[in-house]
Amino acid sequence: MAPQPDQSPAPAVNGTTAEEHPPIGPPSGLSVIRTQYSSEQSLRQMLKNIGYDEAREDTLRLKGVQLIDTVRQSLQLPVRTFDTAAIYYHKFRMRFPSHEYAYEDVALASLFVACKAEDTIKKSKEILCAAHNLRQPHDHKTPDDKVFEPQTRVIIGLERYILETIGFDFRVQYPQKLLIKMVRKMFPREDASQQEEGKQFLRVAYDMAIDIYKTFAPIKQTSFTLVLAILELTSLLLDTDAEKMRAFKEAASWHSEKAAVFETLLDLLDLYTQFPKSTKIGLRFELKKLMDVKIEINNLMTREKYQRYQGWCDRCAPDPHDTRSLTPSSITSPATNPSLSGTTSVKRKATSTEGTMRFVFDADEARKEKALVDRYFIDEYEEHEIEVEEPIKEPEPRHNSRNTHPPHRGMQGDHGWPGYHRSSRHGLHNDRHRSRRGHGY
Amino acid sequence: MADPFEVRMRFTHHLRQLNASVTSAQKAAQYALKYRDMAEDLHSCILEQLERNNMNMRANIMYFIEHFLDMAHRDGHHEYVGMMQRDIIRVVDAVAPDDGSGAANIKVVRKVLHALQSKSFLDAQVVSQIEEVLKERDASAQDINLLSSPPEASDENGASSRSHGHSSHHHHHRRGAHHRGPPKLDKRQIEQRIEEDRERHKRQRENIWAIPPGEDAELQKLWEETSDLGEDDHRMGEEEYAEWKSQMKAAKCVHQREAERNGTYS
Repeated sequence: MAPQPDQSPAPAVNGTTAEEHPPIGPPSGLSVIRTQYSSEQSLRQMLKNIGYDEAREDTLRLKGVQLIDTVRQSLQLPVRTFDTAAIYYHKFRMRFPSHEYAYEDVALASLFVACKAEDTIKKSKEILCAAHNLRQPHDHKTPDDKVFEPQTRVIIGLERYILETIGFDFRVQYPQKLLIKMVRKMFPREDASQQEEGKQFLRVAYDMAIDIYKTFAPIKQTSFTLVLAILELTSLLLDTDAEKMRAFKEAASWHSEKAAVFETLLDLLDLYTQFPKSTKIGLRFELKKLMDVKIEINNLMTREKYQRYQGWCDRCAPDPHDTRSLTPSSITSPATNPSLSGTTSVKRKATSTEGTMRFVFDADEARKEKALVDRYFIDEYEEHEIEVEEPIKEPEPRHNSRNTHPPHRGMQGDHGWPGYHRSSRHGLHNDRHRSRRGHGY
Repeated sequence: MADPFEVRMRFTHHLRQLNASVTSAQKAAQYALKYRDMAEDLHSCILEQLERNNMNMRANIMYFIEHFLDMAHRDGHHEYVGMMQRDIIRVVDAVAPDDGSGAANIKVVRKVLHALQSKSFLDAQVVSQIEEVLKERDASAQDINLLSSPPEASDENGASSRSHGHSSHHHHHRRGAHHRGPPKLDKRQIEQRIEEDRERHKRQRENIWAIPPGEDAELQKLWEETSDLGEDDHRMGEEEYAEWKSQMKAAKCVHQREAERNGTYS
């Protein structure tokens, strides 16, 4: 929570005079922690905040990832660059409303940044040129063509936003490598008779590993979870001998948990049943088979009482009739999550009121720092309580917080009782910093 | 429209535009292949430019030759390959002359020669002969650097009268007197050369990770090359899982925390 700098002339309005307290400040600015993994619920909330329209956005998501794949193949880039680019693409799209940019630009910019991150560097013009030549093969151009000049500037501009979105945390899973190792375990090299079957299995699993990046699963899960789900689904589709899969049934012994694997399985199956033609596996298998497997898994989950999305809270689920929350700038109180990044429009300019924005990796350190700083900035009331972080708030009657302008934290003593102030502290009136406020980082 | 004079001029222009980028080489090569009925002419253009330009340019042309012969061979135009085989000595002499001024280019020549040999454009025997000569030139070039005084126009072709490279340390600098060597490079050209080399190195490193084209190529590669599950994979799994758990925990909503505190789970 960043205190406003204009609070730094001491809290004169609270009945104590300025001379008694030395001026407090400067504010410590904003610490932003991006997280590598988000839960489905926080994902949904983030998307809702930027006015995500499912029907349109799904196709854009699929097209973008597909574009990244075809371009990276034409540039002979390894698959780990693809993995990284896809993740950056998803994360960007979760943060910025899609009407503010062209999906191709973001996809190519993600690839550009991923190339740097994975040490497989390519010039932005080369990427643009490859994309162009794929789109218009009859009009073959070379990267030094002047037509790429303006686009290259767009890409470089987007690069900044991508870096900000990922919070300079470049870590991305690389499930393909792990997948190969696990399949090797299933079909050991020593046994020559199985190699053919192993190859077939691997082909399907590998394609599935590319498809999985068209879902949100890689943002939600670790490498092992992803790979276990892929292995499970491949074996179901190919009716592989259950004996081979036995070793992988126990998710807990593979650094994962069953709930997460199930969730991923269904994510994949949703993709395959809703958009079969946009996937590699969907083209390979009959829709009926895929539906059958999906039903089977659904039944299994109901039987064993797993939730569709682990960690889901029905009470927090956004109200479908809550139309107020549809505009990007609105305050939405449920699921303001520590892992959320602010919903800022692409064109926003850094405002001086925020102070410095720092990207932090260690959540505990940031928390300690905040506790320390807050001692100086926090308002003092008789009934002052230790400020407990409440990352997700109940939906509040909005009109209350609307009235507490300007957004000083309880500085104006005449704006009602502490109750309102306390909520207004969480009230997140300054929309753009909404999510950074409600939590303690 | 094939006016030989114009074509020669254009091609010469392309050659002079050569730099470290692949695009410039491709353009020049494409042009030469387009007008391959004037192959002799264009080939002589190459030789001419090799003997006229500064050392940097010659290095660029050397790299171009490799790329060019590749393309020519792929398209089945063997005239260029044949002519290059015939004149390779002349090319080497131009790019890495024995007066030491081509010191920077010796590696270039070696590299390109080996590449051409591996693609069987050049005979192994020819290459090893040239390699010998190169070695001597290399040593004498080091001489000149060590002594760093202006070389004098001494006796005739030092390369032939020399015994073997290694004893040349205390021999003074030789200089081919049959022609004045190419002019020394000025500062700007040196910088340009550095830039171009940097560019080339970057592209070379690409070959480490670049995936060969083809449907299953990467899959095959990974399948062959990846090691088995090991200690470090499990460690990675543990770390990721721990991180994931803590992030999911931090993401718990107020209801879930409450339920946890009360010992129940909603």
